[in-house]
Amino acid sequence: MKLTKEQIQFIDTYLENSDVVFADIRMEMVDHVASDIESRMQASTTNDFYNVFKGYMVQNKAKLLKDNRQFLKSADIKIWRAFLKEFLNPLTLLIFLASFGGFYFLYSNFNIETFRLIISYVPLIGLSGFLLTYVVYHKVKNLKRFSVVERLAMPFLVFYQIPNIIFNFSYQAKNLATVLWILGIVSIVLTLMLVLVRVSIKLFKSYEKQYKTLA
Amino acid sequence: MSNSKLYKGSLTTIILKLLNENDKMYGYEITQRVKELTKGELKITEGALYPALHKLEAEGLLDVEVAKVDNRLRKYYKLTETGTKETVNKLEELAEYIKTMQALVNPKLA
Repeated sequence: MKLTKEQIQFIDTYLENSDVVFADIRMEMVDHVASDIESRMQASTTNDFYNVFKGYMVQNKAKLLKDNRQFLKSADIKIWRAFLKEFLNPLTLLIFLASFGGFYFLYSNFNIETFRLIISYVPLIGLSGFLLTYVVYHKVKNLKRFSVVERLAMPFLVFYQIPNIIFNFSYQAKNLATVLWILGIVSIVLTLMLVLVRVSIKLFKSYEKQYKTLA
Repeated sequence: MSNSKLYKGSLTTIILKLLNENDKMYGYEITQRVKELTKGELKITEGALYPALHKLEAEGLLDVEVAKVDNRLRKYYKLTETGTKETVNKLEELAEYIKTMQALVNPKLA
């Protein structure tokens, strides 16, 4: 005996209300719970979905929700693997060289105050890229919340902080060697943030392909 | 899972072995297959199975495929090329472990 669309929706809503907020984790749980309930209903004489569901949850809810708390580690491994793959793309080196060249041009053509002001905005460029991707997929394209995507915010925040530290050092930029070091570090940070933006777009696209078209 | 401490270290190998024998499987199917093969002796809980599957997927040993089945989405797992190689290693490791344990626990049979 197979569950109806409404009964599946009921399980989904119940799990969402039990704090299983990420659609990818919840989808798998819904299938597991539904499969078990179907098997229980088939084995017994009762067709009362709600009673079988209640019995299942009393027995298994704690074990089931344990999975929801353990997704973080796997999500982080997934992000770093995708990051490494994207980092080794030849495009990364091109972005770094373009950033370095661009910053050097700014340093050579503007006074030091304007240059400092420009590099203080570098973290915002990377962060805006992620936020824009997030808004487009989550709000405009109406894609649900996914575990791995939301964990991406963490490395972005780490990279966001680094240029702020460099920015303080830029006050000591008196000789060319120091300036080149600062330009190098700022360019690396911008490049890494843009790699993360590319990772975000790829992850969103893969989730969109896997889940939205099937939902 | 019964005797959870003894079986815990072998969960990954069990999953890889099952997926090696089947083209693709979903979570609930794995739990039922293990229950069936061990005649109910070993029951893998959801709380242990899914984190293990997600870890294997994140490590690139498993690939996923999502399909719509019976009014819901179902996530199927299958071995990647690396996963297939790792299965051979894990099974060899387990066989070696069983042999060592046998030598310790029952030297006559070893």
